[in-house]
Amino acid sequence: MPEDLKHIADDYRWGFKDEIEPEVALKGLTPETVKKISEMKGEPAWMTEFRLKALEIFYQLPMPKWGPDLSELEKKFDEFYYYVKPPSKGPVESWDEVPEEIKKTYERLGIPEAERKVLAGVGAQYDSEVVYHNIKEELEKKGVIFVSIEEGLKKHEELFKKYFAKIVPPSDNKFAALNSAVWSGGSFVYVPPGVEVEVPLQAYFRVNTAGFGQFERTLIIVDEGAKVHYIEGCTAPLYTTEALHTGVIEIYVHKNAHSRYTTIQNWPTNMYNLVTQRAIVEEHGYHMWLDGNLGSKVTMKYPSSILKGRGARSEVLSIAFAKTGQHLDTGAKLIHLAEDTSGQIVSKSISKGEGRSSYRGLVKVNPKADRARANVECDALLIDAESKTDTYPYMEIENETAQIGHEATVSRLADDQIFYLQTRGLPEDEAAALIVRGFIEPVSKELPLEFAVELNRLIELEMEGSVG
Amino acid sequence: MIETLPYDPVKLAEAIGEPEWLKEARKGAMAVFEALPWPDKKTEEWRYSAGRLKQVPFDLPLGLPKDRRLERDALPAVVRKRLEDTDLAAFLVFLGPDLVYAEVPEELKAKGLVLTSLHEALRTHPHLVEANLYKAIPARQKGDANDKLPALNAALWTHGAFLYAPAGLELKSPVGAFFVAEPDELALGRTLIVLDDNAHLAYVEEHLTETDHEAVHVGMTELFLRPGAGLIHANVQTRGDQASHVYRQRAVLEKDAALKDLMVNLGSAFARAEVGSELVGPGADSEMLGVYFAAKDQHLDHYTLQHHVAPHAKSDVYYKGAAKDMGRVIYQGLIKLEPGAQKTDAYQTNRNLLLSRTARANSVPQLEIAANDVRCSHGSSIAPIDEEQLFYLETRGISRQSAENLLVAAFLEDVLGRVPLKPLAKHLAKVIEEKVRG
Repeated sequence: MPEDLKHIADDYRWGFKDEIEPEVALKGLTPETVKKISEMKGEPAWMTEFRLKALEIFYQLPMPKWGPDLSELEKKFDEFYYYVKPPSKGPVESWDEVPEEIKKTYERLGIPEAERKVLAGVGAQYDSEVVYHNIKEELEKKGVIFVSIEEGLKKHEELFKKYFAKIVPPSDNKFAALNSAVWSGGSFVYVPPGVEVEVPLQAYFRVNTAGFGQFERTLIIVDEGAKVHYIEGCTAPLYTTEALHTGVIEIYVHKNAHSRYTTIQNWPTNMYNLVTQRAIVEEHGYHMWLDGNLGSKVTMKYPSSILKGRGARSEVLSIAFAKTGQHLDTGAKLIHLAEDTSGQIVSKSISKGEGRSSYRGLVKVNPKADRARANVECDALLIDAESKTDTYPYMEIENETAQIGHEATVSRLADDQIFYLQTRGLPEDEAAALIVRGFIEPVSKELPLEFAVELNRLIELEMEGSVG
Repeated sequence: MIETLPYDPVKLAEAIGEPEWLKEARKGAMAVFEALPWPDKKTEEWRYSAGRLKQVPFDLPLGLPKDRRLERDALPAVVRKRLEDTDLAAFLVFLGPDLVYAEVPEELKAKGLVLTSLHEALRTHPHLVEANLYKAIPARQKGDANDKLPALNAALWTHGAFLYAPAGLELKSPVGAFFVAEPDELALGRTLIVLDDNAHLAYVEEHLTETDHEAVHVGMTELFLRPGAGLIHANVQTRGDQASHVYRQRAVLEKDAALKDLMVNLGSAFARAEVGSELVGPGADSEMLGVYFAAKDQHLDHYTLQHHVAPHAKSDVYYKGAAKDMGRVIYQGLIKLEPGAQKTDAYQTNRNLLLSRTARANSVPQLEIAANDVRCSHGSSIAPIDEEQLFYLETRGISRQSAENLLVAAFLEDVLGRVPLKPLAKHLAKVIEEKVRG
């Protein structure tokens, strides 16, 4: 790899932090913290109530007894910061208003140039607050709303209230309850009937304070016949204390609407990343989850699609790359409630060193879902003798006309393939990287270009010196 | 459900005249049983059956041995019928907890074959029993709720078969045992099979019902395959509509040992079979086949475990099932590779047919892989009968109903073709075809 490229990649790999001191930081998980968050955000009373009730539910719900080890996390809930307000005064209209330090951060991530030219708007989330928003005029003219979740609540309360927490209620799981109590930051998106958003909507965010947990909440409503692609990516600096990220993403895909949610996470390897992502898809609607999990210490994330209307479709494509010290427990759920619904899950995981990646998924077909079809493909690639992989696919079928299939394979980085590529003149680690890239290609080809480039760069780095 | 049973394992052991070590083992198992919770929905292996388990009448009285013996022509009709078309070279017949009949030719005994009741073996081959009993299925295996019923069995088992083949023994014809349920009793049976180095034989165990009554059976089977041993093992459950059946099987396969296992679950209102192989020696090979078919409101649950401890071993699970009426079928299975299990080949396939609007199927094939130089895959499907195949048969002049019946029977019998037990396969094909038509 050329030196300059390596430098960039190293930055990306190791993370970096800039020197912004948060203005307000709330530590500890109490009703007082929750009230304070709500007060500082100037929220209506119903939201304060909602948060406090969610906190009660959080206290009551048990920790998950399955999956990765969360025992360390359980002891630490009171040590996290539940709200951090950055020095910026709030969402800004133009790039010029974005604080210099923050711009610098994005520059080092290699973000701004490409986006401003190619992409419609950057809702860049810095810690808890969205500090930068830029929606192109034509989108506004079409009635597309793309704002921070806080602004969504303030300016579009009726619409917000109609959908908020209806897809993922606080009682769904312990971490959805936690997020519901302390949520801060995230996006609110509404695409009116028939409107097609041609270019992806993007939100970047970074976590930047030690011991700080980020609780972003995103709500996306795609009205009848509308189309949107929302992209969220995150890279974060490394810190030594364990951190927590607990997001809730709710998406409502109306009749004939088409939506896509892409996320790539590369959290530092001391982060617990526990996210609930769920979409409801109405008649002949379509939703795709594209999910890339590279970082974090522990990830538990199972994007779900509830196929509620006749002919609704969903695809879930996922990539996980677990290195030593990481347990990535990811997967997908397809819930078929209506006739002629169909779904496809493709999961590609790579485990390296002592890394462990697990696929955990559910395909459920309810009695009314005649002719439901679903296909699940899970492939795992093991790089080293110590690498681990698991597959836990659940299939619960209550309709005789359903056609459901699951296939999984486990393979290793094969010596003969590497040897072959070496005979063609490739150095060993480049050969390994090529094989890994080829392995994830069915999923990575669906990624937006800049993500695909970043991912490929990352794989090259990871595969350096990993063979032989 | 009951928390403790009104039975004292020590008194039971004394009444039967068991050795001290067994009395102690029973006592320990009873303590495990009492300490463990019943399986609930959170117990992974019981995820889909914990609710159904609550309806099983565990409060039926435990059937105690009465030392009954019967002549061959006085055996239960259901057994006599089976004897008409079987090629068993030797067999046992249990009625409830009593070994009522045994037919083991002197010629086989002379070769060193032991086929008798577990209690008889405690007298004739005490060391063999002591060295192996509870070793594959201890009272506390994983130590969670899934061990509740195995612990009950370990504490209070009343009967069972014992099969021993000395090194190098090779039998051409299979041997077997019939277990006929006693009505309105709780039966706790246990089978122990030990094949010494390079011994090869086939063993068929059938669980039958003479009269359709409530009857609960909790059975355990331990299989030990010493280096180079080869065992063909079939466990066939065709009990009546009111029976309940919970079964755990564990095989321990040493170097180059080969097991070909067939699990058949066709009877009982509720049946759960857990079949596991521990591959502890390199070159071991475990092929695990399964057939199940639920009709009416039958609830049939299956769990397989392929546990690879040694490198260079092979395992393959192939389970096929169907459900009609209100039937419910469940398959769960785990391929578990320990870090040392390099060069493993492990496969797992589960196929299900749903035949009515109210039938249900669950399939959960799982992998836990901690070694990298391996070939592992699994596949699973749940689907209706293939319309194209139906259409083809209809164009040949076969009615739709007959075509359906043919295809279902062919789908299930496909598994039987992989077992070299011809008369048994023929018998099972008949049972399946009757059930498809019924």
